[in-house]
Amino acid sequence: MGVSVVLRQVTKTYRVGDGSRVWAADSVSLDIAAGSRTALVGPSGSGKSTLLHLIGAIDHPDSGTITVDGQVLGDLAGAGLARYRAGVGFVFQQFHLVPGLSLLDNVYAPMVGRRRLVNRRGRALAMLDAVGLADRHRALPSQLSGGQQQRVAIARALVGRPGLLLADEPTGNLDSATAVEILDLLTRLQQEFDTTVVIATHDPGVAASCDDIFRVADGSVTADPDAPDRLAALLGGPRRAVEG
Amino acid sequence: MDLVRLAWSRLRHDGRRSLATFLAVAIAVTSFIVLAASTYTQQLRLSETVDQNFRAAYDILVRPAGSSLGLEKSEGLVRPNYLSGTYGGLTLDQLAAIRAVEGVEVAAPIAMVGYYYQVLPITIDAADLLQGDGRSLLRWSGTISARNATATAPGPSGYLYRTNNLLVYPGEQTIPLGTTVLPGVTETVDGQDRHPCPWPVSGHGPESPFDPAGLWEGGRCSSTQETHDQSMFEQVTVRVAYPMLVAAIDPEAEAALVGLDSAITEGRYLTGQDTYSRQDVKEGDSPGQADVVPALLAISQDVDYQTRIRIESLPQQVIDQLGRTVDDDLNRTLIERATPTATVSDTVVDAASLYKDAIASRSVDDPWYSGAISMGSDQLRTTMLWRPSDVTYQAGATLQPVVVGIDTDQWRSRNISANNGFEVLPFTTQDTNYRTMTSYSVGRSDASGSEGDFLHFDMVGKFDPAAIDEFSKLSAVPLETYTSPEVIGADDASRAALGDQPMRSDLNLGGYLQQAPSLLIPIAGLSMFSPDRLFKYDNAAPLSAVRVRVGDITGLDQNSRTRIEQVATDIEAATGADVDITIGSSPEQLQVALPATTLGSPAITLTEPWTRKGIAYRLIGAIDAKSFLLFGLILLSAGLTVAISAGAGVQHRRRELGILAALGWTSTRRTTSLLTELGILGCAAGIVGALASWPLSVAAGADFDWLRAVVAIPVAIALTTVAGSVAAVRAGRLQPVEAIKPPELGGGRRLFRVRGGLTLGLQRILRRPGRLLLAATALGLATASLILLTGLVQSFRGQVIGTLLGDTIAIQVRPQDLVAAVFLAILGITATVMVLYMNITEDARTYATLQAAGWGRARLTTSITSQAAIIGLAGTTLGLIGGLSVTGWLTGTLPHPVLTDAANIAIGGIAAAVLASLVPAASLRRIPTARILATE
Repeated sequence: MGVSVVLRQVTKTYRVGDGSRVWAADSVSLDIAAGSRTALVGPSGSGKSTLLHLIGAIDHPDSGTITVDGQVLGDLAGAGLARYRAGVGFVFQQFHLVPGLSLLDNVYAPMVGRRRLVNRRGRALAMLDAVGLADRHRALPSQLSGGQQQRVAIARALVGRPGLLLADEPTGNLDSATAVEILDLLTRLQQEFDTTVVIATHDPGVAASCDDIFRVADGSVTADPDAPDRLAALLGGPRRAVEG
Repeated sequence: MDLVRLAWSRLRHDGRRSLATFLAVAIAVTSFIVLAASTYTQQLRLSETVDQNFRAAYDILVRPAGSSLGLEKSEGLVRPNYLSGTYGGLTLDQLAAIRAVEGVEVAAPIAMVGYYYQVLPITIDAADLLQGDGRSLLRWSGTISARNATATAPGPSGYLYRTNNLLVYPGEQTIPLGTTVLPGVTETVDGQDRHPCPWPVSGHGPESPFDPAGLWEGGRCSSTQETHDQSMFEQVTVRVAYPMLVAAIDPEAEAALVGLDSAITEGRYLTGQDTYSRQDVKEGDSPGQADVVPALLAISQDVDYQTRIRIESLPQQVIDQLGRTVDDDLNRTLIERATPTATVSDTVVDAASLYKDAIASRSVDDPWYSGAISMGSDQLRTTMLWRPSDVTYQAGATLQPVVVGIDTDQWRSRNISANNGFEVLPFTTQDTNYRTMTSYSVGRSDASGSEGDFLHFDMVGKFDPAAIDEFSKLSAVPLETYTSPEVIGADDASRAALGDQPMRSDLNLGGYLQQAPSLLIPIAGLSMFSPDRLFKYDNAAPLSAVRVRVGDITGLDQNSRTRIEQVATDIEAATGADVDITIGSSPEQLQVALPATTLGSPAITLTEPWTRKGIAYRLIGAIDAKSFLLFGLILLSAGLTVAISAGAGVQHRRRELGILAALGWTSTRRTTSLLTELGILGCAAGIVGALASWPLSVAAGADFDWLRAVVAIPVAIALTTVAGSVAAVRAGRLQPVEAIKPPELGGGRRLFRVRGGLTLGLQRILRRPGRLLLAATALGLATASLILLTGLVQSFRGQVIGTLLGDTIAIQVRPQDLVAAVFLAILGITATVMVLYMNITEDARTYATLQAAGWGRARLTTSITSQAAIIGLAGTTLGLIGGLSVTGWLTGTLPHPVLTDAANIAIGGIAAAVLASLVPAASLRRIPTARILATE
């Protein structure tokens, strides 16, 4: 089941090389409905990835609260935090597969230590099969194309049946045909697992496939309720055209 | 299991990176095993060497109270000549008390009795040299030399004359009344009386250096017309007064201590029943009685004293002038000033050979020995004894024996009126003296001149001093009873002066070196010094020293040491004597400076083997301390290298650890995952290290033990995981986002403008002060380790060197120290290389960008070598400070060689770091520029 995500007054700053501060998230408040598909749209450096990192609890905010499925992330630490992360699927722009592990082990990796999950190897193989790479489960990531690596990354993100899938520019490193293919895959699997999906992208085509679109600029987020329709019109097709 | 499988999978698939870490760990583990084996072997072998050589002839030396020199007490030494100058002082009751101490196995007393002179003739038959049908004249002259012929003195001289005329002796001619000078031997030549020789003929010359006027022996004349034996007139006879040192021993104790009974070459050994006796002897044609004591004779003596006798033929005109007057002085002048026509004989007789031939080669059954022959024969007997004093030294770095004047009165004879009242003496007696002399007449107060006046030594057996039980030379203690200390030149000039031979006694009792005893008599025989003798022997305290061996000594263990110390304490308490523990001692060469001597020997500096007490215990302590410190250094260096290598491995995995964290891996699981990988690497490195350490250990001269090597595998696993645990724990704590973010390309403060490889390198290394510190620490530790090793070696050598045992140990130590130095250097360089690899990995994006911008390989390499130079400079500076501080703290001193070595090590460290940086610099070629830039 998908989970809801609520951000309240979330602020995150970074100090850069010259000593000045950059506001990656500036008092961001955001509501993402359970099972929805949300796009964070904005130029590079606007703070999209930071928001995903904060929601995925691989970074922590300077202030504000993030609540996922009723759980305040700031209250989590240690094993609880790890458990939360294990329940979130993450797809990175650079795929971030573990180079020394086979495809199967990369997909298997999120399940290490989760003994309550039965038939973990079977699940990993099934996920690889779902992304069309079961026959290459012994291969190493370096033996795959970019699109294939991203498929593996998606399989890894979804193998634990996460309630929340965070995708950071999932098609950013892919050609357009592969991008469409990956988006299709994401959509299919989201529907299959009923997962809440948050996608950071500057690709209008990707954003157009989402239910909600938030504009991110200089750390600030503004909702754009009409954006999906405008984007769909701009792309010359009905909303969620990519779903088809 | 998941973690193990995944770790193995990752190691297997990420071969190149794993291999780099593996190699570094394997080098560290191999180094650890080899060095540990080498250190252990060194410790074992050194301890064995010490253990095998720690025991000498005796364990404890007991001397009369107050007889030890101040130098001996203050420096923990025992002088090699402690018996010389010590005549008695310990009582038989004290000996009994020593023997009663629990733990005493053997207590062997020795009593130095004193010297007497055995006069040994050198006879040269000149009958064949007196050539011609008419008259012939030979001049002979003796020259004495010693100390490699650098000391010389004129000896006796005279002439031999043979004629074909009839010789008329004084008893056969009418001597006018009022004649004051006897005409001597007379012959008629061309109708005129000639007096070629004085009468009576001298049987032998006076031969005392203190009677130079008597060195002229005059002439001996023979005639071809004589029908009786003329041989005594046609031979040259020179006498050598050979000093015979007499010492008294307990035969049974001496046999137990040094196996003297096994050194008997002829006759029998002394027994407990052997003692003084009064025996019937012939005194001329009359029976008499003499005091006789059984004795053992040393078959050889090591002395340096030569008598050269040159015989020259003189021309006819000298023969014609000979005997024109009855004044012998004119004849002497004529003979001495004559120019010889030829040297017809030139003979050199060495005193050691003379001793052997004239004394030691005779059978024990030869009546010559027995004393039971008529007075006047050469026998082993005396009426005099001389006792030289100890040498005293002036304080100073080099021992300088104090020169003493010669009291010629001590060389006058009680019984002999010849030689102006002087004894026949070695001519070296007039040389520079370091010992005062005291003479004693041992004759009877009521029997002067009779046979009963003499003390006779009845030779019952002969012994070979060289056959005394062998003890290690490394732990030799003075055994003056059998050998003189081996004293050699300390510098080239002195060695040249001694002819590259050890200095030996020159028969001068007042000289520096003394001879070993020639005669050993039983202590019971000391009763020959009966109250009616002029010499009042101190029978109450006759013993000069007691050498003690303690029972149940098993080695250098604490129990044995305690036991010996207890016995020594008990002996001291029971006797009040000076007690030295000599077990575990070793000869230490002290320098002795002898001045130029009266007889012309140049000033020389000698090394004399004094005995440094307790050196074996100090050696064992020093070996243990050195081994412990060396092992600590090895462990630290290997551990740091592994830690840095593991750190480098973790650095490589920074991003994937972040990914795994993002996937929900706990920090514990990530740490465990890393440690599992390190454990696998450690296991593999341990196996490889164990295998590699076999040939390396053999090459390094260490004992290879498979069991130890196998045990090293779990040790390697533990070492690797423990050393990598810091890096693993830190990696586990990494925030995922920090890990997955690409490293900054050029952020941070701009230190200075990059103009080329050098400035790029400086910028890269100075931008990461923590990394620089890590690298500098790695190299600094290696530098400090080498400096500390040098310091330890110097300190160790300082502690042990100087004694024979210590020198032997120091020589044994060298190869292992070299091995340790090489491996420590390898560990330091490995760690430095790994740190540079780490830097290159992190800076890969920078290098990729610069390569894309057209920077050449040389410029990029320069940036790496310049980083290495900075690391080298910082590391060696840290190492110098740390190494010298720790060395100074541990050893208490920083001698000049250590400082020089430290400077060399620092320079070498920088050079090695720069050279080693070429290895990681070569990896720049493998940077996937396109791929890295694609991920920007």
